[in-house]
Amino acid sequence: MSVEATTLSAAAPSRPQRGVREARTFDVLSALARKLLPLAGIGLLLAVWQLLAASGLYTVDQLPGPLDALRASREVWAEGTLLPHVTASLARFGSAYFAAVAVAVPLGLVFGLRPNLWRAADPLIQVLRPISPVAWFPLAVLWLGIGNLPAIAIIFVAAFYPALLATVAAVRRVDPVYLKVARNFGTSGPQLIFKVIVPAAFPQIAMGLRIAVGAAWVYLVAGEMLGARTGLGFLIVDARNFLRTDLILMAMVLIGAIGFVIDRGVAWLERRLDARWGLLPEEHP
Amino acid sequence: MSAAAIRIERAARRYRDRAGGLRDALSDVSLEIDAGEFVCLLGPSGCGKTTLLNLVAGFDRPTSGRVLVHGREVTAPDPSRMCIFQSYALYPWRSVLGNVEYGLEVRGVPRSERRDIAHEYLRLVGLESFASHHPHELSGGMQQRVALARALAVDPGILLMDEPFGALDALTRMRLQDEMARIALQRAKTILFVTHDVEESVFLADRIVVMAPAPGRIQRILPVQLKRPRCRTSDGFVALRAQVLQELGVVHPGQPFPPGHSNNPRQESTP
Repeated sequence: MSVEATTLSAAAPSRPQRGVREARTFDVLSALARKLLPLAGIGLLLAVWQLLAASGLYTVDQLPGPLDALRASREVWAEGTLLPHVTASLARFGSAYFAAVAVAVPLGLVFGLRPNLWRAADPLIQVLRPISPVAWFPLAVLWLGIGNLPAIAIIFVAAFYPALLATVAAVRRVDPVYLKVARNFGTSGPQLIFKVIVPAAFPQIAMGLRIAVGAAWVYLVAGEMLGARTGLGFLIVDARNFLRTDLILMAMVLIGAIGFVIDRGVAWLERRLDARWGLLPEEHP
Repeated sequence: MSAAAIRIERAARRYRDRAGGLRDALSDVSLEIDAGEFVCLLGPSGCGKTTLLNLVAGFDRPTSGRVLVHGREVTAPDPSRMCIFQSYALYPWRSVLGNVEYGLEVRGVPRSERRDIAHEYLRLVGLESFASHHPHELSGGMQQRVALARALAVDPGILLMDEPFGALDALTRMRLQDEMARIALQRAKTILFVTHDVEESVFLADRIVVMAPAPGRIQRILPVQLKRPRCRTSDGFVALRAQVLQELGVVHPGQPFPPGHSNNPRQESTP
């Protein structure tokens, strides 16, 4: 680096040494700024929140500040109720999501491989899909009672369509030359599906699964408002009944934070997968 | 029964185009290829050379006429006739070794045995040390060598190559042509090789089948009697190359050769 700088300044003596050093300091600073940039939005939100809470526009019961929410989190943590709520939510979310994937992906494979079947099913799916999972609430309660099952059903519905549609599209978009090679080698039946079509479609399926994760998490809270006695959604309903706005805000922040972590985790998995498939340049840290 | 490895009898392939009209991609083509022979199909795009290759591969059926391989009519693709594509078509989710093993895996060859065979063919194409890499980590020329190893691993009697080096830069292409000539000689395969590169066909082929478009047909068959290994700059090579260019209508009969030199093609049309 320094060798480069010297040769550079030797070749262009008009450029003063100090200028180079200043430029380098600037580089370090801008690199640091770039690292901190993702925090800017969150920082801004916290500041606005705090300002609004302190402005006196709302009472503390209407809008507690960030510190009140933090205090509330310490309170429920000390009571030992926070962790059970979080794990209950994660368990519901996990079981509903994996159930949705376990149904949607194989079904998507079948639809993707059988164009006529898809032609028959496509309009039905497109009619069902715009019905918000929330619209299923009354039926979910009528059919499944209250508690765990309706919540799981709502999350299932939310995750199902993106996973299904991504799989169908992925299978239909498999490069025909891969299939040509497979046929040439005499591949057929299950081997064709599991050795060629599934792996070839997998990166695109994974993208759909990531969208489904997000959708599932979004509807978790809604689902847990249907009579569940645990979970972050229940925590919000319960806090509303006691007018504990600080707890509501805390739960909201927590839902956002966990959703963020889940998304980042899945994105990381997806990136590793894409790198293996050669869709992204291999990372060199 | 004839001794020909591939026998094409008055094969024609007619397509219905988008406007609903009929187009003869291939019209009344007959050709016999001996076992171990290297035949290049040469011609401009639209002359039906890839169509013909697909008929021999079994990816497509002729509208009339038939294709026989070792006396039996071709109705479907088969590992005894392996195709090599211009786009390499390696499986990106498999390692280089995994790609070469693929055909053996489908065939049910036990793991250790297919691993040995795959390594042998990777050695043949000079990529043994890249066995654990993934295709995208390799250059285009290396990827095509992997595709070649993958095809050879199932020991096909016939190789069908569709402009396999068309996507490569000129130097890599020549290097692969050298390798191809060596492998063809070593492994005694029957090879049908589609190209629009005149020099490539002169370098590789025992016979050059010059094709013409609209409708796709064989215009002329030129035997190449140059000794192997061939030299791209020998007099015989240059002369034959000029003859093929002339056949394709790129160089006209009256023109002095070597073509292109000091000779402005526009002069001809000047009265």
